[in-house]
Amino acid sequence: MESQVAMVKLAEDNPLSFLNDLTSVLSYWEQVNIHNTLLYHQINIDSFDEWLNSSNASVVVFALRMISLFKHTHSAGQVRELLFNDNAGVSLEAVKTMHALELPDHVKDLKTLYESETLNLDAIVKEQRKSNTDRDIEGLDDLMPRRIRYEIVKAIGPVASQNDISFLEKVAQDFNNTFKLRILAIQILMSVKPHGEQRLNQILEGNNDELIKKMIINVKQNQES
Amino acid sequence: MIEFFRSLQFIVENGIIVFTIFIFGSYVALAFFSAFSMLNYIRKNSFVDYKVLLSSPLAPSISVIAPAFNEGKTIVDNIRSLLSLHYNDFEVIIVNDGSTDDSMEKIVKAYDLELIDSVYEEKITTQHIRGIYKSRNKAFGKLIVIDKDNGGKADALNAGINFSQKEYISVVDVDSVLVEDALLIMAKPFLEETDRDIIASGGVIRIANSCKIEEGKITEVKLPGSFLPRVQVLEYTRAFLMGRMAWSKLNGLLLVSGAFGMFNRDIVLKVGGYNTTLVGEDMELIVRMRRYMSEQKKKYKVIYIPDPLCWTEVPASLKVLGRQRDRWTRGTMESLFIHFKLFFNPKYGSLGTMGHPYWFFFEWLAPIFEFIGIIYFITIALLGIPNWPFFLLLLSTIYFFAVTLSHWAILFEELSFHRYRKKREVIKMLFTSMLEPIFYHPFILLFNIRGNFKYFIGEKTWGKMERVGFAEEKKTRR
Repeated sequence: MESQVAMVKLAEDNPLSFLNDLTSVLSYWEQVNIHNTLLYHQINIDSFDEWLNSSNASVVVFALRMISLFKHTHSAGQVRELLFNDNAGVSLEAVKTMHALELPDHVKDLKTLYESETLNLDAIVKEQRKSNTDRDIEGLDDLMPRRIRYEIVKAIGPVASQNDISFLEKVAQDFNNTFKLRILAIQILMSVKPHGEQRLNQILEGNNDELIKKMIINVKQNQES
Repeated sequence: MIEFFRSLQFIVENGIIVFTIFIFGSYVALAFFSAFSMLNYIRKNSFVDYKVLLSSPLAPSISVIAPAFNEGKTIVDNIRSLLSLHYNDFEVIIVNDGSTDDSMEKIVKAYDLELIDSVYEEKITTQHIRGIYKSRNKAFGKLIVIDKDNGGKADALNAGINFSQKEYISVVDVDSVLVEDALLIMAKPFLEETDRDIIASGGVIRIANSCKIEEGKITEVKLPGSFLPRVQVLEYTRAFLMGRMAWSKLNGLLLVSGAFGMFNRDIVLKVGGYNTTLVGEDMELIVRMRRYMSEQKKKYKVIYIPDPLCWTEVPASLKVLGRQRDRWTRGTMESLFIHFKLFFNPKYGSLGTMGHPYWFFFEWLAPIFEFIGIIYFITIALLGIPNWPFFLLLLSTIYFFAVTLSHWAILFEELSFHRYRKKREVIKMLFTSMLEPIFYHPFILLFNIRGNFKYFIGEKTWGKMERVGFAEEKKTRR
C-alpha cells in the first residue's frame, strides 16, 4: 500500500497508472488511503473512466467511488452501463454513484434494475425457504439484492418526481420489504410535493394496514420536528 | 486395597504427566504464535495514520451499542466517553435494561433527552420497549437511548441491534472506557481483508482499577494497588497478549470479549442475535456466527487487535470475582456443549479441528482434572502412599512454568505497548506473578468447580456485579 500511495504522490503523469496492471484486489483500506492522498495533495484526475472497463472488479469499484466523490457527472453514461453488471458489487457501487451524481435521466434504468433485483431476490428467498426449515441456516445470498434495491430507492430520492410516485408507493406498501426500505420510500414520497404527500394522506385515510399508517405518521412527525 | 491404589496411582500419575505436557506444549506454542503475530502487527501498524479513516467518506458506518443496568454511578461519564470517540459516521445506542436505580433520570437530565416516536423492525424478539429517546441538543445528535423492560444483557444488546442503522455494530460494556481512536483502530481490519469476510473483531481489555479517569477518559495508567485487581492485570495480559493473539493468527478465536467487540451486523442478524437464555452469550454468539459461515461455505475470519483499546473495572473482592468466574465457566460450557457438533469436525476448519477441542480440553477439562488431582493427592496422602518426589517435582515444575509464562506476558507488554511506565510497577507485577499460583489460582479453581456444579444443576443466574465506579473511586482518591 505504501508504494501505491508513494506512486500517487510522486508520479508526474497519470498517478493512478498502477491500476492498469493491478491483478490483486484493491482493498477498501487501500482505496481510502489513495483517495486521501488525492485529496491531501490536491491531485486532479480528469477522468476515472478508463478504469471502469478494468477486468479487476475492485479497480472498477474504486473508479466508481472516485467518480461519486469527485462528482464527475461527465462519466454518467459509462456508469449507467455498469448498473446491469454481472458482478453484484460493481452493480451496487454503480447505483451508489448514480445517487451521488443526482441525474434524473437515469431513474428509468434504476427502476428497471429494481424490478430485476426483486425477481432475483424472490427466487433466492423461495429457494431458501424450500431448502431450509431452520431459520438459523437461512443463507446469505439475499443480502446483496436487498442492498442494491435499498440503494436504488435512495438514489431515486434526490431526483424523484411525480412520475415516480406509483413506484415509491409500491415499495412502501410491499410488506416483504424491510422497514428500513419502506420508511425510506415514504420519506421520499413525502418530499415529492404536493402529489407525493397527498398520496400518503390518501393511504392514511383508506388503508387498513396499521403498520404503514404508523410508518407514515412517524415520518411526518419526524419531518415536522 | 493398597495394591489397587498403587495401580491407580501409576495410571493417574502418568496421565497427569501426559496431560501436563500437552498443556505446557500448547501454552508454549501459543506464546510463540503470539510473539510472531504481535511482531507482525506492530511492524505493519506502527506508522499507520488512522486519521485517514476519520475524514474519509469511504469509512464504514458503526453503531456503538452499550447495554446498561443500574449503572447510575458512572453512566453519564461513560456516555460522554462514548460520544467523544473519534469516528466519522457512528451512532451511540444506550440500552437501559429496566434499571431500578436512577440511571434513566440521570441520562435524561444530563443529555436533555426527549421521547421520540419511532417505528423499527423487531428482527430479534426482545422484552417490551418502553421508549426511544433522543437529545434536544444537536451536540448529542449521535445519541439514542432505548428504555426497555429488564431482560438481561443479551436481550438489551438485541434491542440495540434491532434499532441500529449502520453497517457494523460495536458492542461495549457501558462501564468500560474506550480510547478515543478505538473505533478507527477496530474498523481497519474489516477494510483490509480482501479474500474473506471479517465477521467480528475483538480488542485487548485492560484493567482500569486505580487508573486516573477524567470525564470518561483514561488520563493516567496506574497498576492497581491492591493484590486482587493487580493479579487480574497479569491474568488479562497473559490471556489477551499470549492467548487470543495466537488464536487470531490460527483463525480459531472462539471469544470476543463482551466488554468491547465489533461485528458484521448482517451476519449477527442472520444468526438471530444473542441467545438470551445463556449466561455466556458473548462466546456463544461468536461460535454460532463461525459455525454459520462454515455451513454457508463462506470464507471468514474473526480477528483480534492487541492495541489496548478498552479499559474496564475488574472485581476488587473475592465474592464478586467468584460470581464472575463461575459465570464464565458456565458460559464456556454452554458454548462447548450447544455446539458440540464442531468437536474435531474437519468440516468446520480450524474452528472444529483446533478451537473447539482446545477449549474443551484445556479451558473446560483442565481445571476439573486439576481438582481431581488435588482430591486424589489428599486421598493417597491419607492412605500414606504418596509418591513425594513425584509430587514435589510436578508441583515445582508447574509453579515455575506458570511464573515463567507470566514473565513472558509482562515482557510482551513491556516490549509492545508499555502502558505501565514506572519500573516499580513492573517489579510489582513480577512479584505478583510469583504469588499468583499460591494465593490467587486456588480460588479461581474453586470458582471454576462451583461453575461446573452450577451448570449441571441448571443455574442460569448472572450474579450481582458490584462496582466501585470510576467517578466515585476518583473522589475517594482525593
